[in-house]
Amino acid sequence: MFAGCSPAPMLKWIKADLHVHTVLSACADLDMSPREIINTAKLLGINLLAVTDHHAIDNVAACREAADGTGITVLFGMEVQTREEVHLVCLFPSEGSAVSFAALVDQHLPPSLLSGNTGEIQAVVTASDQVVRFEQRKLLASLDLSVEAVCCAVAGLQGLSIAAHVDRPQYSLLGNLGFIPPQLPVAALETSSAAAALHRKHPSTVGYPLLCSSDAHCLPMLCQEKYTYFFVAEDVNLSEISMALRGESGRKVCIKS
Amino acid sequence: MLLSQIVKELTLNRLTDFQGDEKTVSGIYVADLISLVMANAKQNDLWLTHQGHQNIVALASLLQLSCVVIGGGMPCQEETIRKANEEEINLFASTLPIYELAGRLYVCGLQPSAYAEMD
Ligand SMILES: [Zn+2]
Ligand SMILES: [Zn+2]
Repeated sequence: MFAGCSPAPMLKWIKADLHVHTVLSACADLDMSPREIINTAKLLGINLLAVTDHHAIDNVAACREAADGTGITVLFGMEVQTREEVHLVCLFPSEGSAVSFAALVDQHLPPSLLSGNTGEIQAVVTASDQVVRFEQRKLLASLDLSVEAVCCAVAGLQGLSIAAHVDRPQYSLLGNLGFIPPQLPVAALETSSAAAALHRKHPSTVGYPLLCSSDAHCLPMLCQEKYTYFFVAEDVNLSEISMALRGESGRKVCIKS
Repeated sequence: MLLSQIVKELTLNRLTDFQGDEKTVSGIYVADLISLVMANAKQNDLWLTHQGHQNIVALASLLQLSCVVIGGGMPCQEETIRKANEEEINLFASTLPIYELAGRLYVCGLQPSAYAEMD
């Protein structure tokens, strides 16, 4: 913020994956525990992770603790399903802002949905992979909030909204809403398509930064053909990522194999 | 078929101040994924959906649809209604499930084969 007053930090390329689920997501494998995720990320040389469970942040702190001393930074994140069934990856600058957002999400989840005996497991765990509790509410359901309402709430908390897996026909901003609504405060688009192909098929995507994230629900999914790399200060945080997405102060982003 | 006739038959609830009932409806398209509508709906279609997001108006305008009907009692954003008034798009709501709405439209004579022949 006061970059002019302090010496400019050393910038370097870091390898990132900004969309990873843990055992708290019903669709994730049981091996998606903090220790396993961090160990796998370390093997893959990933420096920055965002833990993004569906409508919950309860396992982020455990993942941060598991990452302690490994050189891996873990960001507070959540994957949201809006009223239009659009998935957004929401990232937060601090635990406080993530907690505030989680409280808002709680108010807008359908109240009557319990996971019941569908066999789905949603586990809150510790950094050493011990189960703290099982979440009983069915977390994956549409919130009673529009994409605009979610993106604005995230922006209000100095967070970033990323349109998740835009090249999928369903549960995506482009599939469900056809094109990016004008003036939507969305910071980037997550896609596995090449930029040129995406732009040709969806002209409304031109001008948005593109990210490649795993949306991993099991450990092998953390290993991707392509990754997002950020050129940012070594001591990376969400404001560094934000600057990189806007191409400010020498920060930048690219997708590389 | 005249839109005004359909509005009466299905007792649709008009959401806009704008009134363009004199339009004709030549076909029906039912979908919630706007990308599907972009690819498949045709001019003068009535679009039946659960989607109340403002993008429905931009699309109805682009494809020159006859109207959009939000069924199943789904909510419609204020911004969507504002835009529909601005762009003069017929926008309706109904608490009836969209299966029921589609069934009534079929009975009205808007069968797929019927409008295929009109083309
Ligand atoms: Zn998703
Ligand atoms: Zn996901």
